[in-house]
Amino acid sequence: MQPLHVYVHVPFCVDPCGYCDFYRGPHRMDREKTFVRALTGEIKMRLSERKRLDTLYFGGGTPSLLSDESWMEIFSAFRQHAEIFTESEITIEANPASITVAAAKFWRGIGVNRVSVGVQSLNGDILLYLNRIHTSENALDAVRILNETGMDNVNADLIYSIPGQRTMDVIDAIDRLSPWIDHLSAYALTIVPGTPFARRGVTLPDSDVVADQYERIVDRAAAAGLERYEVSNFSRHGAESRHNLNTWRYGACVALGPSAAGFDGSRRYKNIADFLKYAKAIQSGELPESESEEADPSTAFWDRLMLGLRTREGVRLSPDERAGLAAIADSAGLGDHLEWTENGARLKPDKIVLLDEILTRLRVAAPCR
Amino acid sequence: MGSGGDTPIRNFCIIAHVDHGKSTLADRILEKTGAVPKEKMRDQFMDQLDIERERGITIKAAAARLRYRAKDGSVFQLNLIDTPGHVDFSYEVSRSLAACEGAVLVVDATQGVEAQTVSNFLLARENGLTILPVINKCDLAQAETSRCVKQLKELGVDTSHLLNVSAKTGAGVDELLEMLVRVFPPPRVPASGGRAAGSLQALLFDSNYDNFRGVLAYVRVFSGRLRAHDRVRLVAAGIESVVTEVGVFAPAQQKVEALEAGEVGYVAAGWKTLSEVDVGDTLAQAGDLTARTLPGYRRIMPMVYASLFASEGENYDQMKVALEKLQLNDSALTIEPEVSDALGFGFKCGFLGLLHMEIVSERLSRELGIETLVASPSVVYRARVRTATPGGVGEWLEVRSASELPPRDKIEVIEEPRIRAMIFTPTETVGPVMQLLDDRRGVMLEMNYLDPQKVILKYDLALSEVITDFYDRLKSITRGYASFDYEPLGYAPADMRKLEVLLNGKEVDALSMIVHKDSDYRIAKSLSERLAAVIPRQMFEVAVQVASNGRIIARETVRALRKNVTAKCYGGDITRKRKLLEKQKEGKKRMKMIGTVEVPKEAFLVAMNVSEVSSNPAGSRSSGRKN
Repeated sequence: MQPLHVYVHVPFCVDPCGYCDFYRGPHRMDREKTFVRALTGEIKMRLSERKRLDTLYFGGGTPSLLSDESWMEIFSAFRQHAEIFTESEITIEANPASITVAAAKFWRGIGVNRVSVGVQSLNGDILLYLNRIHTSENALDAVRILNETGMDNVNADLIYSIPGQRTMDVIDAIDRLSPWIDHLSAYALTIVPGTPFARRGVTLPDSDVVADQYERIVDRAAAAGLERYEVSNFSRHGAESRHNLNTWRYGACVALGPSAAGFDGSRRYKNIADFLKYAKAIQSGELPESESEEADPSTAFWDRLMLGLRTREGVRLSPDERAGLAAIADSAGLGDHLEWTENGARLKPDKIVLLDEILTRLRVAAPCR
Repeated sequence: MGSGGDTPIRNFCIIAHVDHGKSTLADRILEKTGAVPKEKMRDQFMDQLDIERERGITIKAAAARLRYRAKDGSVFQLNLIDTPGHVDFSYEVSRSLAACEGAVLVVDATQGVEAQTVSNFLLARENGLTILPVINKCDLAQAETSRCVKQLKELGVDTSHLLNVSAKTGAGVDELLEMLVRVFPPPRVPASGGRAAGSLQALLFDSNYDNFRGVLAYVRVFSGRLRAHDRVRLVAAGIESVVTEVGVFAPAQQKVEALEAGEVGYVAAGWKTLSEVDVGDTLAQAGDLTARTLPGYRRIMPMVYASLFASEGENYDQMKVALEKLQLNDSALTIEPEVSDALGFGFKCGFLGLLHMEIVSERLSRELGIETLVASPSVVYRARVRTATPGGVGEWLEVRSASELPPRDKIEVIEEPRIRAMIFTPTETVGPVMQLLDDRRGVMLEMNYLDPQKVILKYDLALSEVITDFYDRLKSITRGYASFDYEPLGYAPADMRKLEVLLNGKEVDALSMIVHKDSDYRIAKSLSERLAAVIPRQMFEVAVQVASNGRIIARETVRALRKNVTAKCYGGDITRKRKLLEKQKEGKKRMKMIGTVEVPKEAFLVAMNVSEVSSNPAGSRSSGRKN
């Protein structure tokens, strides 16, 4: 039986960040109860056969806002409908301000072994600019507490390419966090239409500046023992996020919660991005989906490249696919950008940073489907 | 209204600088003579197209037959022939003038004599017309009547019968009508030249296309008589046909049995296209082999070429139909299909001048709803190429774009079209205007003071220097006070260079252009800078080089792209991300590959001086052209 990967979207935040475009609303106890009831309903619907749970990921939103009772209820539902092992990778995203020794111990107790901390920056001014509710002290305490509580894997999220941010700020954050973390995600700030940042007309630094920052980050993370294994992700040896690797390997993933996007190996779906409508659909016994698409072979091929080429290991390809891609790359003048592996292809490490440009060039050069 | 018979005839036109009130005066005359009842009077009745009314420019000449009862009781047949009001149409103006004996020369009392006042006056005098000067807008407080009179005298206009009028209020128009039947002579008869008296000679001074009758030729009969069912011949074109209809403009078209000597009207004779019926040609009886064209005939040739593209590619067919329709009524417009790497299918069009070009593209967008891109305006150069045999006589080639230029070593000489430009400008702006003319490779021919406030400059100028932004510059440095007119002056040798653009060493044919040696560095620099600004950063450095006659004289570098990757790509991002890449792919597909360099459409537009013609003619581009 195929191992199971599950993603849960927790749609609550205390005070939303200016750059975030995830679906979320204000956190209230009554809403949390409604959410948990709906979620357990969706677990029943979607996890019909008791499969071995490989990874479970709670993202958001701010999952760490959930009460202990809610966690108990959710986990008991999962234990009923899937087999959870000690090897199962169970991640929750947490805001540094909500991480206490007690909370960490509780999470560890119910089976959470990986926590991803939304540090973003260790510069107070930048945190204010991002509208984060925590301080840099909160963040450093948080990763230390998690580390000391015996979490298998502690991740810190950082953001760079913020207007006014100095490269030194990011480098310094890596240095200060690295003793306590096993995994690092460093994301370039992206202005998504519809977010407060977009409305305020925030403009990003010059792309050369961003390229410089990125190079420095890759180098400094490596020096701290955190190797890049995907465009924005770095880890100690063996501490890669299995949940995310599964996505980049084009693996299936059951997604639960409002606005969550799932994939069964051929069909992609997206849940309703409206909390109440989502809950209502489940209450009436319907799948709470708003979008569904079946990938045709060409879409699937390019999706696999789009995802797989982000990673150090590259994309798995059949011999035919490999030959086809080699021909396309040659005609696009990109033959020297790829490396051919035994069962696939990957981008040369220094070319990963140009992935989007490479992908579009390949697609233009590809014969018409 | 019967035909002339024994009613005395006066054929006349009104000439003026743009906006000096020609059309308004024509309206008043139509009203006073009862040709158009006051309640039916639209402003500027004789300007038939909206675009003419809005821009205050008469594009298509029209004619009107009026009946006028003088104070002493005698009745006259007046034929008012309207004339196009812009430099580009000076040949057509001259043919309209040739159909008249008299011209009312209108001068705006608040503006005084302007460039086209002079050029129209000179044309009228050349055609032997009696000229009746009229000062218009005398009702305005700013009117400077005596200054205008002085200026007219300075020009050599006979002011003994000068009248003051207000076309707007109608004041003085009765006196004008009374005066013109007195001073304008009756229709003249050309010398017979040994031909039988009374044989038909009719001048074609304009034409129009009608869906039912084909081409309607507007004629002035000089001798003989023109009837329906006559077998006639276009003398210059050598085309014979049978007259199907003759008529007059009352001012609406009205069929008559015949047009007599001295009369003005229209003829239909089964002509299918305007290209058969040249303005200036002469209509004679088919059997009259001694007939010659009346003096002044010439074929009109495009002076400026430009490429027109539909801004939406799929509008090509629509545009083709539209251009062909425009051509039906505009014999001066030439069209031929063209394909551009950047802009797709379009047309290379020949125009009489810049205004003509603007009017055509505006009519495309206005009447047919097609937005057009106007690219690469160019004059027609001539190049003499070496013969294979030494000492042979070189062959002249017409060159309308850089790509038509023969290889450098084959060219003996290149000649460019020159114009004689006449510029009227306030005295205090003479310095900057002369500097501008100097920059545009002008050679001063004459400089005269019309009066202490106004200077007339006559320059020999390169036409190529005028077709880009000359009017706009002239207007801006004189705050709108200068006026400008020109006439072709033939060809003269010029040191023209071929500018070529190279992207990473590869020549881009569509980006090359012909420039004068004095400006090659300046243009090369600006071109390379503008290209570098629109070419997106790519995965490698792109060298943008510009060569003049094969030697690199400008270079810019587009630095290599260093980072382009989406920061986050998790389960929820896949669909959106895929769509984004799809969009980028479509964007890339629209780019032209020059070697491995992706060149966006904008780059071609930059090099082609493309202007997107908006449907707003009051915009800044057209404002400079009205005077």
